[in-house]
Amino acid sequence: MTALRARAMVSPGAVPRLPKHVRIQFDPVRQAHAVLSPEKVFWPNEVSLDILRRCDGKTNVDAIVADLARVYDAPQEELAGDVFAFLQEWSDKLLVRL
Amino acid sequence: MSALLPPIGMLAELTHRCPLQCPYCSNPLELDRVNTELTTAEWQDVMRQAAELGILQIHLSGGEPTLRKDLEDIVDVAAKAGLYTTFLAVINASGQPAASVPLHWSQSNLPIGIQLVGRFGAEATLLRLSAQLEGVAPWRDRRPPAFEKAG
Repeated sequence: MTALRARAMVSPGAVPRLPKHVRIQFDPVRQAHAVLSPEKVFWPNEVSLDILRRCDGKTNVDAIVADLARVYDAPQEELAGDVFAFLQEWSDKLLVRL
Repeated sequence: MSALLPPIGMLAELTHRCPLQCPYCSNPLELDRVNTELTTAEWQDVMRQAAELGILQIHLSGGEPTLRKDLEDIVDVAAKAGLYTTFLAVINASGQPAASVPLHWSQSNLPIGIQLVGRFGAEATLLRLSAQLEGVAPWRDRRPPAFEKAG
């Protein structure tokens, strides 16, 4: 693993993925999905989970937005801003790689 | 009122043995001796019970957890139980990689550790630096008095 020298920026063509140290796991005790990373646990809501599950290292951001627009029956341009902001935030925390 | 949920994380001090004598160490003064440590089977049972309780993350600490020869067997059971395991030194609470290397020696021949802390993700740099330091000031053949007595 090399040191990150520049802030990765979300773009329509970027292909996000979860790094090896980030894992989504269902917690039967709390009946919720947890995102596990070194010494941190996050509890994403359903929309966040829907974005994270699509960060498969194959689908670019544009395609993720298009797919979510279909699932949520919402205009792409409405969703795009939220998806970009979410991915940028998670990328800045090094929980998503672009 | 909602029920009180179990903790998310558990700190497991697998051993209190440690090759270093870091002056800032936060371990308790009265440490468990090696012959009172939990056995492999006991630690494995602890891991399974923790997972059933709702613990999500196990922080493996000590002492120096890598001194346990059964570390892999314990981690294996923890991983299979769905636990997220991390090896913990003090600085890792910030998410940064750290290495502790014995570069100084007390008058009674005990190593004094120097902790090197890297930027997030800079594990490779730290390992290279540690290897270079070991190259110029090798400690491989040095043993603390307790180790000599234990044979």
